[in-house]
Amino acid sequence: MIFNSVTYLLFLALAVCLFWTLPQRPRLWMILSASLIFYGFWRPEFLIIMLVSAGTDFFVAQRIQASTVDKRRWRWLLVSLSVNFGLLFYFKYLFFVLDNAVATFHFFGYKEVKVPTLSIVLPLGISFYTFQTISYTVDVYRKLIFAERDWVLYGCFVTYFPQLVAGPILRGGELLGQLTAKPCFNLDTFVSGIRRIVYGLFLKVVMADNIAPLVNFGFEQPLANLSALDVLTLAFLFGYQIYFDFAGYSLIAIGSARLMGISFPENFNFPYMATSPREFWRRWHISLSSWIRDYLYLPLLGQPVRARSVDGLAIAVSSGGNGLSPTLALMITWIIMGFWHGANWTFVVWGFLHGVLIVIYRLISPRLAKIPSGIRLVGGWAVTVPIIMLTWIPFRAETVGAALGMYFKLFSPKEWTYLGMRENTYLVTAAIFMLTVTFYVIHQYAYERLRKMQWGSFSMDALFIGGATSLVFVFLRPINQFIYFQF
Amino acid sequence: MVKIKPHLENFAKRAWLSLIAIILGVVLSLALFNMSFVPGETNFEAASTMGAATTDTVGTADGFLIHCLGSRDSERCLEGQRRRAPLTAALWLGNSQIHGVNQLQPGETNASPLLFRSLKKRGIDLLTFSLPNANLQEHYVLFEYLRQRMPLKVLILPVCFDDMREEGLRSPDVTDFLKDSETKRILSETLIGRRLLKSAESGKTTEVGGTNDDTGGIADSIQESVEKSLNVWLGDHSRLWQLRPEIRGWLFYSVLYPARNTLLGITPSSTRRLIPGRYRDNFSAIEAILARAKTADVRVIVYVVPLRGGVQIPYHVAEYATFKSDLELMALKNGATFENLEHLVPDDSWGTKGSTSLKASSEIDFMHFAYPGHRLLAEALDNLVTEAMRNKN
Repeated sequence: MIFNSVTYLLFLALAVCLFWTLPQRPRLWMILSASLIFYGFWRPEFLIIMLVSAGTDFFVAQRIQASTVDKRRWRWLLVSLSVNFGLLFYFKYLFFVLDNAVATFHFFGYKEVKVPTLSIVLPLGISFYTFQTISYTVDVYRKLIFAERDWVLYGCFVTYFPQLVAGPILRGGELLGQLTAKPCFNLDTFVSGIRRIVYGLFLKVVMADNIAPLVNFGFEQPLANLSALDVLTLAFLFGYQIYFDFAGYSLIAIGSARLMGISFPENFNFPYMATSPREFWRRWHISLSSWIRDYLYLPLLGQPVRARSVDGLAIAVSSGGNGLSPTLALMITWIIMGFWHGANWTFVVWGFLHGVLIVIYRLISPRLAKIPSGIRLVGGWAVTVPIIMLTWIPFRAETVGAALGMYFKLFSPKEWTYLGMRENTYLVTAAIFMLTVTFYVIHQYAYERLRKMQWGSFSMDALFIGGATSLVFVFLRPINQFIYFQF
Repeated sequence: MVKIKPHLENFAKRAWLSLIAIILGVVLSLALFNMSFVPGETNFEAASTMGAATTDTVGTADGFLIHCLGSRDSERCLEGQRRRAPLTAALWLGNSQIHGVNQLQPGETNASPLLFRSLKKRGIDLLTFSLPNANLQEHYVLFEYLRQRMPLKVLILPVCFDDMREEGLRSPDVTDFLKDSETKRILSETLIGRRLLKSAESGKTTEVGGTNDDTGGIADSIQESVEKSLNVWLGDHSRLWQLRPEIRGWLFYSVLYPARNTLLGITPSSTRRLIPGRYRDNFSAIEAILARAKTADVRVIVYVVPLRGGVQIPYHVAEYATFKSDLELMALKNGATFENLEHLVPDDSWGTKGSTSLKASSEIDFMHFAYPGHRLLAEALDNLVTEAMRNKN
């Protein structure tokens, strides 16, 4: 089921009513059934794959916990990883691997080799729920949590509908406890849930969906028609589209859970106000960055892991680990991070670019520390944001060649002398840029002060939520999926 | 009795106030929509291209359309022509300048019925197809589709500098013509044709008034049918819900568009610069039309459209001059007739249109002229067609 629809809003209202009226055990049953219905509304047959992944980890985690022999525990963990990564490989990466293998054969002159015809549909949210179940089993293996014996509760953890399809990716320790605890209705949390859903829908249906046609039209242009300024504009525009789309999704997910008294960690925190590439990854898709940190990056470094979906990937690494060098570990992590997003070399390039940016930042940050903090922050922001935006080019382009072609435009002086798109595209981009900066300034310096004043809070809710809701009312229609659904 | 701690009391009070504020805000803003939006008041497509003072009008002959605005009514035009069974047909492709009449008075019409009648006397049956802001790539598709369905001998091809800034095929008004396999085959013979086909096949088209597929994100899922049923139910029970598509158009054309123009000082006289890539693509389309016409023995009359005089033109002077000379060169190179009708319509035949800014109530219209202008245009084209046919014979 897609969030930006009337169906979801009705479904959510019903689920929330049942949640607060049912006793504990039936409530868990209701969450599990609602989550399966939620998923089945897309393609019911793919429920089986999700249940295979979840069922494997439910069983394996108990085996791991029951065993005291390290080798046996390790073997069980390998079973879980093989099943989950096997599913992920088959549905997401098999065609990519075959296609590249065939291209390699062709390169060496074996032209008769052909890509077999495959009809594989990528199950919705597979990258998210496999990561969630993997983290559960690994956490049991690491003895951070106990294996869950109640399969209904465990099923609720894996399939909990607000975060099933595109996160935030939660750890067992973050959600299982909340699901077992007796919920206590808190009107303030409930209202904040409504607020988040409204803002999330606003970002998706009013902002992201209306930016999408401009982005699509721009990226569909023949390369020869685009100027350097067009490339920069499209990078910004897509950067905003994906931010509004995914942050909108995350806000609706967090808000929906809050209506049931369940707290999710934040997934975004004004990422385009980051003053360095490292800070960007503390602010963008925080739950995935934190997951990658704890299950890939820190293990590669041989350093102790954390156990919460906060702070993201950009952490200062202390020396003394017994693993790979930080730079190598970082680059491997980033390339895998890119590849997680999709089976295309464009995503690998995107991950590689972010890895390089963070390595460069690490190298120059001791020198940057000598610059006065005000200049460092403003200058850092002014440099970081355009660079981060430009890294979105391979993420959105259809091929690496197309992305490189767009990048080359930036280095050709004559490509800066004309405009290749309608004036509205530049105006919309500039307007969004100014609006996001203004909103950040208001949020940082006036929002909390106003919130503390009773009438300030009342007026803000009436004005912003009222205005946003009416726009959501007008624009609410599932014309586009969320971008991250395809991952 | 349980005593609530003061800070908890404040906390609960604040939450209640927030909830009341949200409900109040929602009710007030929806009421505002209800009051400020008058359904059916604005023709959004017309407002975006022609302005409120310009009326679109299409002519008929013997109960059949002789002027169409896209694929939706094309069959009604073609059927009429089939029944009239002419030996020689002419096709006039263009933008809203042809179907839009400024300050239309009762009994007046646009140029196409006038030209239809005068050409009919010479045994030529004219069909006109015009779309707002039509670009030359769209004309190319229309030409290839219609050419096979009429005894075409003359093509009248107006070229407007504004249309050279447009790109892509609109859906469904032009993309529908690509359902014809022969049209697709012919288009695939040129580079620009192949690009247009590729774009259309991958769904890369410009939707009229934004996307019409309200459930595109849930296509082929169980949710699609549920969502559609819910929308129908909500539409049946709420007037405001039913009006949502109109409100969306109103927000863009009556709120955002004028606000943008007012804030940035954009007027009809603001300079519209040439967009190099689109200019090249549209010229490729003109070249493809002219080359095909030559092999198909169709005489082409290319003309620069009438432009309002007496005021500063909304183009960069040098770019506009280059455009005219490029067009002339292209026409002559391909054996077409070229005519610059830029100064054809006198200043007093141009009117004003509803303002597109929040400041003024009306503004000058560069594109659409009144009936006397249409009469002059029809006469000029009649002469050009007669001349072209004479040369051909």
